Amino acid sequence: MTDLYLKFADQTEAEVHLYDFTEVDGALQLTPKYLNTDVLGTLYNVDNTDPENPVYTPLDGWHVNLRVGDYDPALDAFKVNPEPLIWRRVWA
Amino acid sequence: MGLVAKAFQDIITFSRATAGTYVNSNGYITNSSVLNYLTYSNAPDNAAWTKSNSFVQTNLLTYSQELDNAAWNKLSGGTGVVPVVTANYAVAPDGTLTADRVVFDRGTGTSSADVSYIQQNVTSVSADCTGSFWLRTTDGSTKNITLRVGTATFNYAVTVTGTWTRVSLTGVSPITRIDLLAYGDRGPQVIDLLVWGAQLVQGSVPGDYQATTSAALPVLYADYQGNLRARKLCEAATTASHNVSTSVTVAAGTVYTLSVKLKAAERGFAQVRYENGGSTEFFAANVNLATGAYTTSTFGTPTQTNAVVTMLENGYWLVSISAAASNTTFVTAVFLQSALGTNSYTGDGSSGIYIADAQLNDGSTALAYYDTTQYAYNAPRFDYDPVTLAAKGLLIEEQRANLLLQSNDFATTWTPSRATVTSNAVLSPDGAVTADKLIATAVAGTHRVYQSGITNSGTTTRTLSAYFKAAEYSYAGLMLSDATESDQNRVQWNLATGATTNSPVGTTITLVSSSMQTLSNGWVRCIMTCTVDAAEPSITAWLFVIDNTNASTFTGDGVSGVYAYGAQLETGAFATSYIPTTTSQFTRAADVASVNTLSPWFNAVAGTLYVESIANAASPANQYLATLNDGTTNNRVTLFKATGGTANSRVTAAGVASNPTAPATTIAGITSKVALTFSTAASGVNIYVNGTAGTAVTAAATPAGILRLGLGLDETASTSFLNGHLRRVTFYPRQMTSGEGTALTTL
Repeated sequence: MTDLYLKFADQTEAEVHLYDFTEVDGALQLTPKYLNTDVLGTLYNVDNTDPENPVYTPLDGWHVNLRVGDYDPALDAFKVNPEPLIWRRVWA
Repeated sequence: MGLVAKAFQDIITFSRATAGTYVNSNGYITNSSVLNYLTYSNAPDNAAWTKSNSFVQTNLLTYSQELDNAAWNKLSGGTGVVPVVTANYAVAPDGTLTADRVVFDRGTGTSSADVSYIQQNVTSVSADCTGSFWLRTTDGSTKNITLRVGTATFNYAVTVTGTWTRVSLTGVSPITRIDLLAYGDRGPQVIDLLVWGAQLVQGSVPGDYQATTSAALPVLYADYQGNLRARKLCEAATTASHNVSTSVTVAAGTVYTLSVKLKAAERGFAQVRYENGGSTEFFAANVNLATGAYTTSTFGTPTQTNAVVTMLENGYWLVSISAAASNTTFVTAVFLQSALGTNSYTGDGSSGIYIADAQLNDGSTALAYYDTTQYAYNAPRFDYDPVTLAAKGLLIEEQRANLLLQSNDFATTWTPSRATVTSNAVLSPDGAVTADKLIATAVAGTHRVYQSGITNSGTTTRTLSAYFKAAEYSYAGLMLSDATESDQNRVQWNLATGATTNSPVGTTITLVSSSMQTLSNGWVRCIMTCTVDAAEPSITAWLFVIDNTNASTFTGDGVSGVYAYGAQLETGAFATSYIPTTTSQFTRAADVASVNTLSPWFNAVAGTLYVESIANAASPANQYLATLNDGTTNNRVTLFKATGGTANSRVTAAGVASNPTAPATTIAGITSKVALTFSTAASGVNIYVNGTAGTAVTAAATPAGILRLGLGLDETASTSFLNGHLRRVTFYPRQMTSGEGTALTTL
C-alpha cells in the first residue's frame, strides 16, 4: 500500500495519467484507474493577515492524492518534491 | 450434507483503504479496527514482501498449458519443420480437456542440426532452475524426445510412453529458456505427443504444478484446510540468513500480534520475528515445525512479549508472537532455519517451508485471519443506532474528505470571535471527555469560532456538520459564508426540538437542506447543506453559540455556552460518518464489498435477489443496493434506490433490458425490503418493494456470465455507493411467485 501525493502541470495532464477514457452515448466518460483517487486540484496559499480580506496565491500544478497497491511507475515522476512539512490532505 | 459456519470475511470480499468511524454497540462513535495491517498477507511472492536470500517458488513460464500461444516459439532447423500444435486435443492429467497435441517433424535429416522444437524464453534467472512437462504419446507408442533447460549442456533424452508422465530436468544458472526438441539423431522423423503442464521453477525440484496464463504465478500448496493457498518459501544458495519481510507503520507503545501459518518442507525449522524500525530490538520465536517445540530470541529490550505455537491440521503450525512496538515501524519477518535457532547457513538453492496467512493485528492475541491484497484490512463498519442501540447493518459509504482541520479541537486552528473555548470539557459522543465547550464572552455581538480560507472552485455543494450538546444555552448554529460575510447562510437549531431558523444573506450561498440527528446523552448532530456559487473563491465555516432566546447576537457572560464536538465540512449533498482530523484534511476511502464466489448458490436461469437496507434519504443520486453482474451493465440483476427515493431495478441480458415498473414506494431513510425476481418465464421479471408488487415484464433471456454480487455499489465497483446500511442480502435460486415476493418484502 502506497500513498502518492502527486502534482501535475494541469488537470488535463492528470486525467491522462489517472483516468481511462471511454465514449458513452457520444460523450467522453472518465473512469478512474485507481479506486482511491482524491482530487485536490489547485492549492492556494492563504494570507489571513486581514481575515476579512484574505489573499489567495495559487500554487503551481494540479494536485491529486492516491492510495494504491500496484501503480504505473510513470506516476513517480509526478510525486510532490520536495515534500512539505504538513500535507494539505492525507488518507484517514 | 453438513453445515459449515462461515464468517463475514470468508464470504464477502471487503476493503476500505483507510480508517473510518461508526457508532458501536454502546452507542459511541469509534474508529474502525485494523484487523490485518499487512498487505498481500498471503502473497509473500508480491513485491510488498522483501525476499532476502530467499524466493517464493514460482512457475516462471506463461501459458503453461497453451502451447499454441505465441509465448511458445515453434522453431526448426536443418530439414526440420516447425511443430504443429493443436490446442485442447486430449484430456490432461487433471481431467480437463486442456492437453495440446504437438507434432514434431525433424524432416529426413538425421543430424543434430535437423530439429523441430518448441521453446519459451524467460527473463534470465541467476540460479539453477528445474523445468518440467507432462508428456504422453498420442497413439500410445513409445518415443524419445529431448528436454532442455538453459544452455545446451543441460538436455535430457526423455522416453515418452502412452501413459502421462511428468519429466523434469535441472539446468545450471543462468537460465533463459526451456525447450522440447526432436533432434534428427535422437529419434524418429515424426514425434506425435500430447503435452501439458509446462513449468520452470528456481531450485532443484520441479514443485507441484501451477497453471499460468499471461503471467508467472507462485506455485500453490495445500493450506491447513487442504485449500491450494499456501506458498513455498525457499532458500537461495548463499551463506546468509534466508528470510522474507515487510514493514508497516504502527503506533509506538502499542502491543501488536504477528501470526503466520507454517509447515515443514525440506526445511523443518523457522523463525517468526518482530523487529523495530532501526533494528535496535527484536523478538522472535524459533519453531521446530515437526513438533511445535519453540524457543524465543530477543535483541535489545522488547517489551510485553509473548509467543504461542498452536497445532493446526495438515502439518501446519500457527506461530504467533506479540510485542509492544518501540517505534512507528513494525518489521514482520519469517526466517528459514537449518536448525532450531540457526538463521545463518549455506542454502542449497531449493529447500524451503510452506507459508500462509500472515497477519499483524492489534492486541496480544492472534485474531481470526483476514486476507488482504493491496490495502490493510480495515474492518467493515457494522453500525448501531446511537439511541436505541439497535443494529443498523453494514455501513457502505463513498469516499469523502473532511476539509476542516482540528475537527475536534476548537482551541487550535479555529479562530474565536467573541468566544472562548474550554477544551475537553465534557463526555463526548465518542465516550471520552473530548468535547469542548464554546463560551460566549461578555461582549455584545455574535459568538462563534471559524475556519476560513477553504477554497472553492466552480459551483459546489457543501455539507457542514457538527455535534452539539446543550450546556447553559440550548441553541447552536452553523454557518457557511464568503470571506467577508457579505454572503452567508446560517442555520440555528433548538437542540431540544430540532426546530430551525435560517438566516441567509446575499445570493451566492444557498441553503439546500438542514437536519438534526439525535444521539444519546443529550448530543445531536446538526447538518446543513448549501450550494456555493462559482463566484466565491473561498468559504468560511462557522460554529455559533446561540442564546436561549434563539438570538445569534447577544451579550454573553463569559461562562455560559454550548458543548461542541466533531465539526466536518464535506463536498457533497449530505453528511457522512465523522472523519476526525488534526493538522491536515483527512480523506476516508470508500467501502467496497462484494461476493466473488457464486458457487454453489447462484442460479443463472432463475432467481430472486432480496435486499433489506436503509438508503440515505438525503442523497440525490442513484444508490445501489445490490447487483449481480458481469462487471458491466450488459448483464446484470440490479436493485437500487433511484433519485426520487423510490426503489428501482435493472435486469439486462446481453445488453437487452427487461426492466419491470417499480411501485412508487419510498425506501430512502427507512428500513426497507426489496426483491427482484428474474427468469424467462412469462411475467418472470418483477420488483417487490415493502410488500407492493411492481409491473412485471417478460425477459427473452436471463443475464449470462454473472461473476459477482456487488454490495452497495454499481456494476463497475467504483461509484453509486449506497451511503447507507445493508441489513440483509439473500439470493433465492428460483423465481418467487408474486405472492411470495409480496410476502417476503412486507415490513
